[in-house]
Amino acid sequence: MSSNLIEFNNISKSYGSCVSLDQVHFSILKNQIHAVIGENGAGKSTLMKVLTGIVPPSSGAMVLRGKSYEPESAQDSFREKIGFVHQHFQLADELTGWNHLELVARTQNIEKKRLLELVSEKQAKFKWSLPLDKKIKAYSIGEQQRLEILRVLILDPEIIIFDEPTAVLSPDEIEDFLDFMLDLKKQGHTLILISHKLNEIKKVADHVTILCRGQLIASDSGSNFTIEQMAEKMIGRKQQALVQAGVNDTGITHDLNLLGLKLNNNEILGVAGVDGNGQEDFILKLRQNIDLLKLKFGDISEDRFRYSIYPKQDLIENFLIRHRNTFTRLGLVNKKKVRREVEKIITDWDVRPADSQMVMGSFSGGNQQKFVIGRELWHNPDVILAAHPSRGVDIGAQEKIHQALLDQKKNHRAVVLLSSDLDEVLKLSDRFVILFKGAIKGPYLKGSLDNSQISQIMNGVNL
Amino acid sequence: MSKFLLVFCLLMFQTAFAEFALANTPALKIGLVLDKGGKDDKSFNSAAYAGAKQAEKELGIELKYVEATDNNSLETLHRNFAQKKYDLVIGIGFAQTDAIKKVSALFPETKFAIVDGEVTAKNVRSLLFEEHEGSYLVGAAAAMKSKTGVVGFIGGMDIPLIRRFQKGFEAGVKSVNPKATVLVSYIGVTGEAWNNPAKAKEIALSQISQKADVIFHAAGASGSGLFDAASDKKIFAIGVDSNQNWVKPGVVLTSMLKKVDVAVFETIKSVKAGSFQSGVNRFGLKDGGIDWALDENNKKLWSAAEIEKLNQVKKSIITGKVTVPDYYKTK
Amino acid sequence: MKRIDYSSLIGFIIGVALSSVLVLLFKENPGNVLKVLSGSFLQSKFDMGLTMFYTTCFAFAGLAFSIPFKAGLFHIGAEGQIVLSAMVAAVMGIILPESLGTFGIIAICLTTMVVGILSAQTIAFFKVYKQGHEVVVAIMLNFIFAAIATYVVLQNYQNTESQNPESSLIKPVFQVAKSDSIKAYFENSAVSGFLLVAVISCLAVWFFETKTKWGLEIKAFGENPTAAERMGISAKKINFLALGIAGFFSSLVGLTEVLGSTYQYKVGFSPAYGFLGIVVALLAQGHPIGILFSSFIMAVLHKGASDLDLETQFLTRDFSKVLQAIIIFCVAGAVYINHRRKKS
Repeated sequence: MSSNLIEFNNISKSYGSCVSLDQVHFSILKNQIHAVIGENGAGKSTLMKVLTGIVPPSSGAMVLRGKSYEPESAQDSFREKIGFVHQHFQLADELTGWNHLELVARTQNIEKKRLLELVSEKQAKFKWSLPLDKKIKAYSIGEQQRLEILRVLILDPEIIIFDEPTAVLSPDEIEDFLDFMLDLKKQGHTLILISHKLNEIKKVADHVTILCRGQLIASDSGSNFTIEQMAEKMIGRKQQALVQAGVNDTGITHDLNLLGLKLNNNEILGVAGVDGNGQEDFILKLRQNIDLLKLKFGDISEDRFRYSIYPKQDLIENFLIRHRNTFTRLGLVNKKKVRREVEKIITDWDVRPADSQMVMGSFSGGNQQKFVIGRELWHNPDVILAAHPSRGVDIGAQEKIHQALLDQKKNHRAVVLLSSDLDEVLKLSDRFVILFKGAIKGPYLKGSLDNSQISQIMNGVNL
Repeated sequence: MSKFLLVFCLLMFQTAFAEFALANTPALKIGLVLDKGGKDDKSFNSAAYAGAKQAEKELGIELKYVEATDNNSLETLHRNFAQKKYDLVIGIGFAQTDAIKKVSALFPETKFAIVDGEVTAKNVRSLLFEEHEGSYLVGAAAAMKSKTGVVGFIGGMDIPLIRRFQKGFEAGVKSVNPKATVLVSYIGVTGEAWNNPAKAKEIALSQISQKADVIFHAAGASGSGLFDAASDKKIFAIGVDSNQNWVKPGVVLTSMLKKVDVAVFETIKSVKAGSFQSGVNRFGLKDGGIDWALDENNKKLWSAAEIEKLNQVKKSIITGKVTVPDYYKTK
Repeated sequence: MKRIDYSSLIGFIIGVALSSVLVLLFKENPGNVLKVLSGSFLQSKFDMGLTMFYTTCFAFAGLAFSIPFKAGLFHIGAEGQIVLSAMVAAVMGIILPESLGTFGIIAICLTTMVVGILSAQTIAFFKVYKQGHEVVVAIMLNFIFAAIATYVVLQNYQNTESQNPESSLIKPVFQVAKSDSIKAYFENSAVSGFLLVAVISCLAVWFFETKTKWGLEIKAFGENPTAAERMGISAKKINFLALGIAGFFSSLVGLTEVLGSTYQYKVGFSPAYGFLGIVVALLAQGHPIGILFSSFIMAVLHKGASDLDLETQFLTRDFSKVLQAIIIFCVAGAVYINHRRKKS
């Protein structure tokens, strides 16, 4: 099968007793856009690590261009013309675009003259005009992504891996990017697309490989799947429809005092906007106001590591610190009672592994998030702030989270949902605002704007 | 890497556990506990050490010396010597008074001696010196040789013992030149003062800038700081306890000798001879326990007339014609 | 379950081995040296008693470092607090009227503890209100407190019966330790009932850290201060609380010395308890029960060090400081390497 560019032959990878990949066997054809989809922990990133030589497989073999391929480091994969555009940009704020390109050139021994040629060639090819002399901190998100891609392109990779490329883009930028991918394909590249945005995959992918819990579920032409089928295969069961609570008209309004925003206690107020447009400030002010109003507060923070968890302590202690006053009598804490509550959260939210005495840092990001949400909803807070709640969380958990947020409305709780995932915001919010450079645009009622209008507002256009 | 380290450690342990047998000789065991500054302070402790070494050579005793770096361990050191059945334990310096008082009571079979301290016990001999007499003498010497009429005194630790030196020195200076100025400075209030040459040098330079051209120190090992300054600025320094004329010949005018070496030697000798007596010994100019040093190193600095004059002063103290003020008595 | 970390123990063994090599270079017998160092405390009940006295002081000093450490503070100010509280204890014991009897003793203890707590909280004050760095402030306070202690004692309470820079003895009625049965058992060495206080303190601190709200708050704040503050744990409170407790234990060292051992304030009485306490805490990796053991080990070494002078030709007490330094270095190195290994 000479049109097989990459073959994964029964690749397995275990970390101790934990099986990350289990006999994954499929091929990627030349000049395809090949999507690899799956929940968090399905094994997508591990598979890519194996492909790019960062980890060796425990068993199985890879074939690249018909020859056996056993990379021992990332350098080996560069040499084989495999490029990787990461989800989280690896750019330094204080360096310029050029600095970053020069760094790459230096590690791969590309002379400056050649680098200049390559850069202008690529910029021309895709009709980009990146301002390479600016420092990264002056770049927009879209520009940053282009720089990342450019970094990879100057090494002329035949195969390019994209990891969640549209996570941070506005709807218009997403359209541009999808076109860009098709363009790359036309130019002869083979693209591996890792994404959970099933609608985008449906638009551009030629072939879709679905992983679930380390196993290959299906690998077939994109046209043979509907979006629902892909979702179902990814999570192993049918997706559940979200239950929308009816809005109670006798709700109480909290005056948030945030530039005239009022929050009703039976709604979800969405906060959309591209990252870096004043989200942190907004959250800060919101929190301060909630403190002033002395309301019970559920805090699903945007940076779990910094604000929500204690990695060296176990789940019981992580729960206990948050709700310490409830479990303290005469200065002493009652760990036994705490344990019971934590076990409940573990069960309700399917936290894996189900060990309340395991240290927080040993759990995967998704499980940490599930626990945090369980903990923050436990005490029936009046106001819930959910900032990027589904970040790093698989579809199954995401469902749960979304349902839980919707359920809060039933209990006369107010929810502020801040997310860079526009779909999430639009799906759940009753009203929403859009942040642009610190300014709050809106609020708009659900369904009152179409995608194009939203895109424009997100990019600063005043409608 | 870690395995190698482990094996290495085990090997070290194995080879390290060879015992060596201590030959037990029947010679007299003498323990010497020196004060802060150590045996190389060229001054107080050096004298004690010299005396003990002489005894080791001439009397064939077995000597073990330690330096008390920390006042808390003094008692332990004396105890250890006593527990190991040493025949005589000598403590150098007043700081050991308490320790010897306690330990001598617990170990009545062991003999103790203390320099600059007084302990009343059947097994303790106290060796005291009339340092005020010697200080008076070198005070007179300083006034004789000073051209500016300003002399300096650098004390180590600010305690009555050193005040005794100071008072005697001042009186001696005034006896030759009533109009002279005596600049006085102390290095510190703790035992660290005995071993702080840097501070002594600072003080000396300061006194020199105030026109002092002869400076006498009673500061143990810190004295080397004075000698440096005196050598730099070409003034005279006066040493103490041991003969320090050799340290900077031509700069050291003379030294006030406190013959601790003799006291130590004699005490050891008395133990060997079986004639050890408890009680207090007071050494002064009369018996030669205190004196001023004149040798090849400083002879050139003195004229015959001056030497004669100084010896006259010495005689008048010995005969009682001159009474040297004693800080201990006037307190 | 958290696995037991043996890295400090391994570091200790490596340190001892390296020290043995150094000893060989000095033409001494490492086996002999080790025997002297480790056997000194067993020579007699008196030696054992003195060792237990050191253990008491090291344990308090270790706790004084470990608690703020859990809160993320590097508390290097114990030495100054120890010295200041010892001075206060001695002065109180000198000026209080004899008629107060037991009340007097209680008053001495309480005043000393308050002084210890407040002097440590001075560091907290500067950190919280003036953005001072706790290490710089602590070091400066060490000097200031030491100078105050020396000045007050030498100017006003100098012992007239001695040339040593020390205070007079506290009034006989306050010298309770004279009738202390522990002291009597150990042949009137420096140890006293404060040894029991030290053991109870370690247990109490363990209880505090694991079973009380404040203990958990301190731990949480130390691990992730931003998260803790988000959850309503005030940085101000933690700083003052952790340092206050540390100051309390520093004051106990002062009491152990004055009420339990010498009945006076001697300038320079502390062989750097405050700093060695840091070593004790690190050796035990901050665990309060571990501190009991590591303070004992340090005490044994400390006691043995003075014997090196006697038992060897060329090694003096100063050499033991080198040994101590090598061991500390190896322990710290082992813990650090293990920490880095775990991170990757």
